[in-house]
Amino acid sequence: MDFSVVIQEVLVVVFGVGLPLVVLLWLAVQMGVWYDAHEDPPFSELEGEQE
Amino acid sequence: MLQDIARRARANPFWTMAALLLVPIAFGAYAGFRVLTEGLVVTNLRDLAPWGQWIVADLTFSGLAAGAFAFSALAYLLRRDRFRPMAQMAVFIALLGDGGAMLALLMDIGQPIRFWHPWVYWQRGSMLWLVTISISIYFGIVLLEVFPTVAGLPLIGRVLGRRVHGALQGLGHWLHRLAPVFALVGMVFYMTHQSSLGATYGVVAGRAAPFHTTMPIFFIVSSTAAGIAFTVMMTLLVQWLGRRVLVPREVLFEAGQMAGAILLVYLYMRFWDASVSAYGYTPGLSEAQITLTTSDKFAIPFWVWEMGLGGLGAAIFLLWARMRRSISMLAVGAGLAIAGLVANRWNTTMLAFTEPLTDNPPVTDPLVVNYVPNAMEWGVTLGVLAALSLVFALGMRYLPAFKGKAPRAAEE
Repeated sequence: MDFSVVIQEVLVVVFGVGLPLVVLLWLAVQMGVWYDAHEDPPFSELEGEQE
Repeated sequence: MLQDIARRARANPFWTMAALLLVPIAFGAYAGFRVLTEGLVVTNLRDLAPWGQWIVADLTFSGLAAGAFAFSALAYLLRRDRFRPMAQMAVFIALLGDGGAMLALLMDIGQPIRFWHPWVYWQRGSMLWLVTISISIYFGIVLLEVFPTVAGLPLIGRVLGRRVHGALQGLGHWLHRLAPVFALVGMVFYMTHQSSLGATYGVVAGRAAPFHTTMPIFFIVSSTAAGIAFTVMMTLLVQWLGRRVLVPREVLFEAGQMAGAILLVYLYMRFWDASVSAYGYTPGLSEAQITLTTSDKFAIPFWVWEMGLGGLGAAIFLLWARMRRSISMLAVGAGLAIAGLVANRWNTTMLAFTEPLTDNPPVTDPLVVNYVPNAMEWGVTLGVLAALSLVFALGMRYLPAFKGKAPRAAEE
């Protein structure tokens, strides 16, 4: 068994799949907590802001 | 000393982030200078691997920008007034995305001083000519669409005087009235731009790997889904970091659902395309399908990111988020869809330019080109990415259109 290939594949899975997923999930949970604690102002206020 | 710096950084998170972004921007400027003065020899791009990381960056930036523009254009054309706040954000993203794509291309073309040649010397049989003309017109339209937003910047009044500022704002209001016309014309050129990019891979001489007559439509559909998801993600981030609300969350859920549905259509199209391709043997293409789905280099980005998490997974999260009214699910779905687009553009470019037509050494030697981007290429890519992030952050902070409103505490 060629261990260098195995190590390379483990690194790809850890850094190419695992790490980005962990970062994304952490970010999503943090955002979810803040959004759940707040409500949007009425739409008319937001629309007026854009004019 | 260090404690003092840490305290100041905590007190000014925005400017700390801006200062940190200057590091990759400086590295990118250095790498760009080397490329412009010494040529592409300072990169790992060679005759056997002529398109690399910068083209992936170009395709990703322009793909995300195109999808964002499509969303804003649909908001105007379908007269969806409730989408307007997000449409304004989408147009700003489209401007930055296309700007970044053109910066990456300027580094890649090898003769940057001749960037204007396609405008004057028309090569009507060239896909890349069509790409250049489409992005030029489409970028001009996006500039006109963003003009009213930028004209509202108070800094302009302080620098140019109140009268000039007033005139610019008047021009901005006039241009804003033409938004539906811009949206219609822009839609045409965003589609020709994405489709000609996709079609380019189908006509690469001697490289049949990604040859599909369906490539142009794949590029349009995938960029639309990922671009809408990207706009949703950036809006979520800006609101969360700035502790303000720009777009009602119901609109974000609806946009996410649109992106998820478009992603499912895209996966359905790819499934049938793969089925038809597997029906018979096509030299080059059939081998490429096997390489894409089984080789170490492509299998993980293809199955995990392009098809699994970035395809089906993203679509499920985006569609489910609205039903569960979950911002976390929406963010996960949007993030996965963006990653899926990056993986798709990476696989397409690498399959087209680094994989051989056949595995017969006398026909294609060397058999495989081991292309890995070097420090100069990383420098330019990260520099462009950091510059776009900085301009976006400054725009979100200072442009009056993105001031937003303070949220209310949720009732128990």
